[in-house]
Amino acid sequence: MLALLETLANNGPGIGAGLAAGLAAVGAGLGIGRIGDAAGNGIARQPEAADLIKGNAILLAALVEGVALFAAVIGLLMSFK
Amino acid sequence: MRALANLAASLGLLAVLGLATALPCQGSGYQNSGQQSMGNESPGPKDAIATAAALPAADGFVASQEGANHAAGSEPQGEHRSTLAMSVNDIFRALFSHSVPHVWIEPAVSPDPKVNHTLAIYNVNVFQWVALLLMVLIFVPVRNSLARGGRSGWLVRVFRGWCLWLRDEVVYSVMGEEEGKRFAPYFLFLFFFVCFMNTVGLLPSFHGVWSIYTATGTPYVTGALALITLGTMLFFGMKKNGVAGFWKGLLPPGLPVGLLVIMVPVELVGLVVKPFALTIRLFANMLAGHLVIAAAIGLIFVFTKMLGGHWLSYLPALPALGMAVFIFIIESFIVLLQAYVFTYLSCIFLHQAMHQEH
Repeated sequence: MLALLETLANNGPGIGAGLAAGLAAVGAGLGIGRIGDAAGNGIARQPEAADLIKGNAILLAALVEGVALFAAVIGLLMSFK
Repeated sequence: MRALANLAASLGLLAVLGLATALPCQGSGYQNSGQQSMGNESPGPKDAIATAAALPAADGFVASQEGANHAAGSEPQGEHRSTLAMSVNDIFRALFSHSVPHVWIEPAVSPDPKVNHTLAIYNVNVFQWVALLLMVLIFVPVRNSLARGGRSGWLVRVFRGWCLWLRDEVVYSVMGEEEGKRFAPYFLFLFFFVCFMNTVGLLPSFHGVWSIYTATGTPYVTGALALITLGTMLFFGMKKNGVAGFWKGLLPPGLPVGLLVIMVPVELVGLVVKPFALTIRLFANMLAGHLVIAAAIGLIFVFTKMLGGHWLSYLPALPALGMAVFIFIIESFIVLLQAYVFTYLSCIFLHQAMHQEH
């Protein structure tokens, strides 16, 4: 237990950076999954609106992805300080 | 009215140049901290057995090392070092340092080094000029062809259609045709400026031949562009609704007085967060794409080091290279998408500031 705590204390920034990137990936994955779910449903119900839905879905996915990248960059800054 | 729009566009251009020239100077702290941490890095094992692959010392690495008291400086910087002589940290640091802005030319015009440093030309500035030069080269024929009408070369046709698409689908669809007419030149400039900087950054650098940099991969450039968005939001919002009307319009009507304590800071933060998110989104996307490619390439060197230069270390190089190419293909889509997202959101924010919902 003490050894574990010691390792944690020594590798604090590294572990934090890994957690930041990983948890952000979880969140962004859920978000993009929901966008994809809704877009797929929408296209299946209304194939004639596919182009409109696709464009909006890509835009929204880019917005969600941006948030995940914030975390990735912050993680990099933490690990390379 | 058209002359006014042209004037606004050129003022925006000047503001971009001015801000983006001034801002990177404050980035020197960023580089200094890099120097210190690099200086503290313990030297890798010197007794390299074999040189499997030599990793060229990165330009940015060398530049930021200048004048620093390098603790591990037993070998001259800028020399090729054996991969086996570098620690894993060194390998990734050398690869990632391509994404850190650095000084190209520092003019010696004044005895005060501070003045010289303020006038220093970073690669960030240079690649903004490259983007502007490309825009002039491409869009002067496009403008002429639009004025003249008729058929033109394929490149001109592509950009003509692109401009019209951007005007109709982004600016007019958000702001409406009446208002969009005034702002279309600015948003076209914004889109193509960001797009060209992103795209130029995708070209690979060749060590010792040329080095390419993504100007949008720094918060300074994207921050300057987002500040212009904030400025237009404030200026045109206040012009349209009146100074008092604009600030009052940020709050929902019929708000109890007690809630003002909470709502005023929240709305103010909401106003500032918009350009801040624009800054980080573009910068992080551009930086992260390059870093992921660098990390995939870095795996080659890591495996070489792990296997001590054994021939088997060539095997993981293929999937690593494949991954780098895959990310590159994704990235070449992202550069266009992020330029679009930046322009689209700027457009929406400006429209929101002018037509407040509540």
